[in-house]
Amino acid sequence: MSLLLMIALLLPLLGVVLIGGGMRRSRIVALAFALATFAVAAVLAACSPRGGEPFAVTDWAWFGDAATLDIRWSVGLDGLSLWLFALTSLLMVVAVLVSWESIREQTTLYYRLLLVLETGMLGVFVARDIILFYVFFEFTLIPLFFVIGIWGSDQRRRAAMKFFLYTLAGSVLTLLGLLSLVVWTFYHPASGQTAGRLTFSIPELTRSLQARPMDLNVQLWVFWALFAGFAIKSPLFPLHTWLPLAHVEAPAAGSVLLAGVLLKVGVYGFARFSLPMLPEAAWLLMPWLLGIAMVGIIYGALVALAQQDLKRLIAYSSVSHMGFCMLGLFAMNPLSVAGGVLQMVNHGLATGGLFAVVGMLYERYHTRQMADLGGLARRMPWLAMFAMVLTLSSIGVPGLNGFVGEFLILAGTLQRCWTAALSGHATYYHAVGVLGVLGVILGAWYMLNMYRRVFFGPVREPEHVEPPVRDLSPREICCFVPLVVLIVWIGVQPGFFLDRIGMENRGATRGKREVQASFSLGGRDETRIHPSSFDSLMPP
Amino acid sequence: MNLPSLAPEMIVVAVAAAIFLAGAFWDARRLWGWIAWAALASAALALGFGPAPGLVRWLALGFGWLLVSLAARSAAAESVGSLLVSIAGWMLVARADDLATLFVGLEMVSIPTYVLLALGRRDAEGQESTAKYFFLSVLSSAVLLYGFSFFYGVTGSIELSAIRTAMPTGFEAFDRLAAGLIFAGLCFKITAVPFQFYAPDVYEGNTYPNAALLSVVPKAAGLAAMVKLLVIALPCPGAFVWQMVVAVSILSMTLGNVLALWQENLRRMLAYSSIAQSGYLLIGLAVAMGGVASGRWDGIAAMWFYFITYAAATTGAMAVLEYLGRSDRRLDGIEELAGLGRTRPAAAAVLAVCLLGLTGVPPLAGFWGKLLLFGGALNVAGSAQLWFIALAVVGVLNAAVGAAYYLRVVAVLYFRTPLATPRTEGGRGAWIAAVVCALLTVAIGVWPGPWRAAVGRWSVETKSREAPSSPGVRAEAAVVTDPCEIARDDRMGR
Repeated sequence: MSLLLMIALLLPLLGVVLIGGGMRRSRIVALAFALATFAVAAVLAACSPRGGEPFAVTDWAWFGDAATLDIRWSVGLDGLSLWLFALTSLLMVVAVLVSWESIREQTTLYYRLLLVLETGMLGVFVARDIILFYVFFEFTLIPLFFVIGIWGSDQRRRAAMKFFLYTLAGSVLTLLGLLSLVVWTFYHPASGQTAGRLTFSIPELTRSLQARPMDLNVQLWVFWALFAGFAIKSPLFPLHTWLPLAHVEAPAAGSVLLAGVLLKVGVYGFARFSLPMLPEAAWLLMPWLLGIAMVGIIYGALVALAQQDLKRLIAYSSVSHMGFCMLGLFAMNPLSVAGGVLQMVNHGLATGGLFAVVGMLYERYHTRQMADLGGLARRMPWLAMFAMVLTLSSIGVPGLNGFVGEFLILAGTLQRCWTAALSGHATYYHAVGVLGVLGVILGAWYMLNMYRRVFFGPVREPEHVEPPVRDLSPREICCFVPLVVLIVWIGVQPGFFLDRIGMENRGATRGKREVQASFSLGGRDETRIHPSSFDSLMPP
Repeated sequence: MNLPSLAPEMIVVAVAAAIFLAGAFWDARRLWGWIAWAALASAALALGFGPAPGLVRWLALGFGWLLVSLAARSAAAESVGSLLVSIAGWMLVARADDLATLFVGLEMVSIPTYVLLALGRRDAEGQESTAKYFFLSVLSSAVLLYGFSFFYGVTGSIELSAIRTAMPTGFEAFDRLAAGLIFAGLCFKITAVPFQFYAPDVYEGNTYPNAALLSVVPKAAGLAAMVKLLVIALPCPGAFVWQMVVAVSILSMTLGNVLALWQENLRRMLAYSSIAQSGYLLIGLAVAMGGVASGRWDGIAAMWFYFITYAAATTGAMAVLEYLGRSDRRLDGIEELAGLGRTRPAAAAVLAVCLLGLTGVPPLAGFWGKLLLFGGALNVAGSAQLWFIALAVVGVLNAAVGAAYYLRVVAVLYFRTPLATPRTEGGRGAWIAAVVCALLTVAIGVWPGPWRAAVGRWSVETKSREAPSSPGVRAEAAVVTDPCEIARDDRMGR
């Protein structure tokens, strides 16, 4: 198993070496390696244990030994990372297929960068060493910077610079936060740990920091330091401004990967570091965090309603949907956390697919303005069908995956906001819960509105396009089929996926329980229901 | 100090003298570079088999080799000879264990650079920048010597080990005066604020090989001297000393990075970049002075590790730019690089690697340097903690600001349409140096362990050899019992 994981990480790099020649050869090699990586990831996912325990762990010395800095090449999967890992390898296949015809310049470099980016993104999710995580976390910036800057549209240079600098400015502060966790643990080992041992291992740090949390004021500072990087990546409401620009200017594959995978890196950071390692700060800041997430949901939805450009609309819908994921995590209820983790995958499938749809429309019509398009369901029934499924998944229609994620998030959050014995501010919490539900309605509004304007009504196409526009080619259909299959599969059999996320074992919730004890807030707010028992609630 | 241990320096200086002499009779431009390489190679042999090898002396030979390759095309006998002398000066500073040798070493670095700068460009602009450099350099040497006189006056010795044992602790006024003067004199060498203002003019007004030399050799010599004078000879410096270093570090980083944002000339931008990078390097020095020496987050080791990454990336960038220039005119403006990614993909890749290495993005070498420096700053405990946390925060924010101007060049390389294909007449030596530097940046980045281990071992050995009575490397658990820490707290009135 651990060998498989290493193969999955190294396969794209092998592809980088082998890619060469012209456009035809590059794209075939890139597709072959993306597919092979996806196959390996699928095997890993199929063999993963229930309950979300770590597996496929590899642990090698890298930087030094125990006497110096014991930064290790330590990788493995667990419930939190498994589906994101699989999602990344899947979306890379989609990204290569989307670029098939549309990228015609410097193709060799392009596919090389995509595969390098794949290794970077996979690495973020499998790293079990805090520095290794950061290395991959930052490294993803470089290939994407070039992908946006070289193959993007008109304002690509500005978009690439803004994307890189904005995210870098946040993530350097995150680096300080991560280092503080390490240094603190070194000086304040939990009981049972040897003093004077410097560890960078994420599981070890989590254990130590939960057994003996940092002083509260230190926790708060470190929390904000981590917040800087993760919130910009996610992106949370006031820090999202790089996102629409980067999405609009990026080539279709760049948007697919940016929305599908890279936004998750921020949320993943919260789930992996902030919540389990700084439990008291997370608990103390919960009203603020829930508020920020809720504002992001509503704000993103309202701005999306006002957009005329398809890519901008979906970009702002991402702000709104990522707000849901964060709401689920920050509510720190087992249901909502599991929902948040699953919703990350759901959002990657739906939004990644929608960006691919926009890319295909743009290839045909060279416009992304909704005003220029209409009635396309007659011209391209296949595209309309796939776009329908993706839109419905994004809205959260029961039977599709979006519903499962949003339901769990909202159920958990409402439980937190109503029944939890949170001290004071009852009205505030109630408002957060209600407005979160309102976000779902707004989401349906702008998504269906978009679908109606583009695909229904009288046919409207830009004048400069020759009338017979072809429907999806088999290659393009191949790019949607796995997405739709997964969307339906998660929708009808969520237990399979939730079992492997294993929320009972998630650090975030475990940390929170201990926090509750230490804060003696009392009140058992948790209904300990195993997620698979929710299968009965799901529509068939 | 016995003479055999100085054999490498002597070989280099002897060959340099021979080149100076022969250059008066023969004009054999192709030959001097090869002779200089041979001299450095035999010095390396002498160093390897000699009694006291040291990491910094190895670095001097390694970067000396790169600088000779870089300058090989335009090599007059005088410039190759001067280059060798300043490399020997760098090695001598690293080897010195008394104030006189140290000063001789520093002057051996400075004086040849006056010649080199004057040879590099003979127009009015070049002459102006050389004159500026000369006067400021002489002034800084005087300031440094004045500081030395206090060391001698207080301890009655010029031996560093004797100074260390005789140095009274808790002598606040002395710390301020002597350490302040020495630090100021050396700040000139490493282009730290407020002694940086010559750098942009001099870099802009001169050639790439000379700019590379200025951003590597005097900086290395200055840092080696700082370690000897402020860390090893001054076992318990007053809080003022490390506070001064912290302040200079913050100012250098911020000023260098912010001013670099507006530069259109490549060498001027790299000059501001080298000012900013000095600020990062000083973090390591401040950690070594203000914090407890620790085997894991050793400030000195972090500083030299960072220096290797910085010097490799900067030399590499300068070498590519030299390589891309024409024989009669060098590249000046950032805009001239437009579209290099298409016209000269290999050169563009090398330059991009070097610039991203300077930015400090993983997995390139600069990232590990920054990680060690910031980790060291966060690791400082005790009364100085807040200062160092502030230093680390300013440092990382500066890393983000710095990314803006390095990336701007990378963006011009790849995102713009090509204007004209550069002529690449800078010579094969420059290209080899550039490729070696880029490979080094990648190799250290992907496999940093051995490099950090070598630097760490060397740092520990230096401390135990030159300062046997020092607290040296202690377990970090002993933070509170550090005698200097207690003395320092007393002096600060706590």
